[in-house]
Amino acid sequence: MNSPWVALEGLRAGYPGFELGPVDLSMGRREVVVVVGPSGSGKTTLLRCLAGLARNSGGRLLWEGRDVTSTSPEHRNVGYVPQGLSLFPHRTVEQNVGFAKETLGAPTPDREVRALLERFELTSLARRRPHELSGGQRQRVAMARALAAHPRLLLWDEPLSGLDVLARDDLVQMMLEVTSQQDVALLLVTHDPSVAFSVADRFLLLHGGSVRFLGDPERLMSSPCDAFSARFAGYENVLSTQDLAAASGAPWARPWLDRAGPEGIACSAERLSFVQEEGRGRLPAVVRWVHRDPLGWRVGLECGPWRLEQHLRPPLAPPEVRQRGWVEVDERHLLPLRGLEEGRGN
Amino acid sequence: MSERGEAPPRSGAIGGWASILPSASVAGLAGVLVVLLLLPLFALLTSVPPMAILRAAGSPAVEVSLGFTVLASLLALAGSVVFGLPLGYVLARRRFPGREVIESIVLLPLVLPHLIAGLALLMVFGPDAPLGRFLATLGIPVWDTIWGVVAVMGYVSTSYVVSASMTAFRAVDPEMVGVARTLGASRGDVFLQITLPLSLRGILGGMGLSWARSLSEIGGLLVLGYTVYPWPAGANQPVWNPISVLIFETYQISPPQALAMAALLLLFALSAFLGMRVLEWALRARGAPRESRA
Repeated sequence: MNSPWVALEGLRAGYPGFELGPVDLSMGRREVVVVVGPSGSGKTTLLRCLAGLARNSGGRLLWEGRDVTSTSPEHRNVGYVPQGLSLFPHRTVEQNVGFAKETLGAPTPDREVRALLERFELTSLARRRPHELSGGQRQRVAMARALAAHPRLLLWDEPLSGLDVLARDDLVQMMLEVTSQQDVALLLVTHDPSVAFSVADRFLLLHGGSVRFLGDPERLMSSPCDAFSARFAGYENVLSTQDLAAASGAPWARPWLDRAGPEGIACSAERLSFVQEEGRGRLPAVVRWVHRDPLGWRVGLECGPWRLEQHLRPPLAPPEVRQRGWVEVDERHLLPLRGLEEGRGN
Repeated sequence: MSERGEAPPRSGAIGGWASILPSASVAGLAGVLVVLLLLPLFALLTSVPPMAILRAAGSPAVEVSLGFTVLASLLALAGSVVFGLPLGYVLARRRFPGREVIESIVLLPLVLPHLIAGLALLMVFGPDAPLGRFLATLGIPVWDTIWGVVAVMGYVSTSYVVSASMTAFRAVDPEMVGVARTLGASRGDVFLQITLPLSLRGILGGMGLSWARSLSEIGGLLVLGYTVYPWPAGANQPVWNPISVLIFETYQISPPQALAMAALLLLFALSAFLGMRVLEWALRARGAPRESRA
């Protein structure tokens, strides 16, 4: 049997007050795994540990079966693009991209460096320094620089934060092209669901340093395991066990409580209706706010201790703020959050 | 009066003064300080006729003394860089027990009266001190030789190199260093290609201050290097004085002559300072950034 391109076996790392792991993950070449999780869940620690910049306290890293756990960062063959990019400010774009080649003693400018500059549309910016570039250009330099070292594994921490939609989409496209053409596995940290779902072969969800979910995007969408993954998968209405407990005595909450899983319950804002007639299973609600969005309206509803959100698309008209009514939802659209064991899988 | 009620009073003028006054007082206080810093230098330079400065510059005693002082201060600077940069790097980059204590020790010479520094060094390098005696037996006498002058200058000025390099190294983003390592650079490569170029301006600033401090030292020299015998000892060689000591001695005999020497030294120091600024500007023009966290 072939060994995986990249394998993490029971990887543990941490610092005082925080422990990450164990993380078990196998990646094939050209596979994209998106790491998601709330702030402080250990995403960056995982990346730094894989890059060799943070020491792991347990477990192993294997490159096609070769143990690289103790290998120093310069010999690990991992590309790392940190959140702040860390471009070298005293070097031009060309010198940044050519840094890895330079350390190998390649002539400057290297043919391959020039090809990378061209591929990332940086040729005309080759003589500029990082502070003379836009956010998107800087991101492209960081990516080209990392790829110039021919990494086996590319680690990318929040690559698209602060970019406009067009620049973001361009970069995502470049990223997909590169990973499909090179033997590189990509581990990407992002908070942006639209980027994550467009590139991910699999998701790795971290929470408090533990792996809460590992699986494909469809599985994350159809059965998110906890409140974070439900929100990330696009469920606007997520009620945790604490939210549910706050309304446990209310008869109107019964259908929701009956359907809830150990981690709570989720429902898409598209699936809610705000109606004027009372009925079985309907929740009494007051409209708290109405906001426009590009596709219609977002309506904030207060149901006892719960805050729910409804999305309305034209030709439906939005209700008035402070209007009273009832929230209706088909029970089939109430998604129980079943917790770690249910959602986890390879 | 309108239906909505009385219009609020126009407060533009008061608001304007209120916003101008703090800025004006800050600018005034800053201006006073700048004037106070420049006034003595201006007074010194204008109190001495240019011809007197030229005569002082042509005096063999001043030439020898200034040359000797510059040589000793450069040697002190070299020592400060050789020993100070590694210490600054370790203090900036490593965490270890007692780091804060070492940082305080490094700054100690800055708060020590320099005469006391000279006396303390005499207890270590003097003719009756064990280390001084030992070095003398090796043929390197310290008391009243160039080495004594270098020791004093180094002692009172090293802190600037260590402190400035520590600050400069600390300003280099550790993440940037880490990224450079993942790109195949060894620790040495990273230091030479990333850390050092990004810290260079800060380090040069510290070196400049350190050298200027050595050049102007007198307190410690009164004890350990008042009259300097040539080293290695040679026959019929005149004794030297560091320039600050020479000015001090001359002042007791002929104040106008001492003022001319002082003006000459001031012009020399100003030229060196200007040279440093030009170097700094040149580095900036070449793209060495003030902040490394780009």
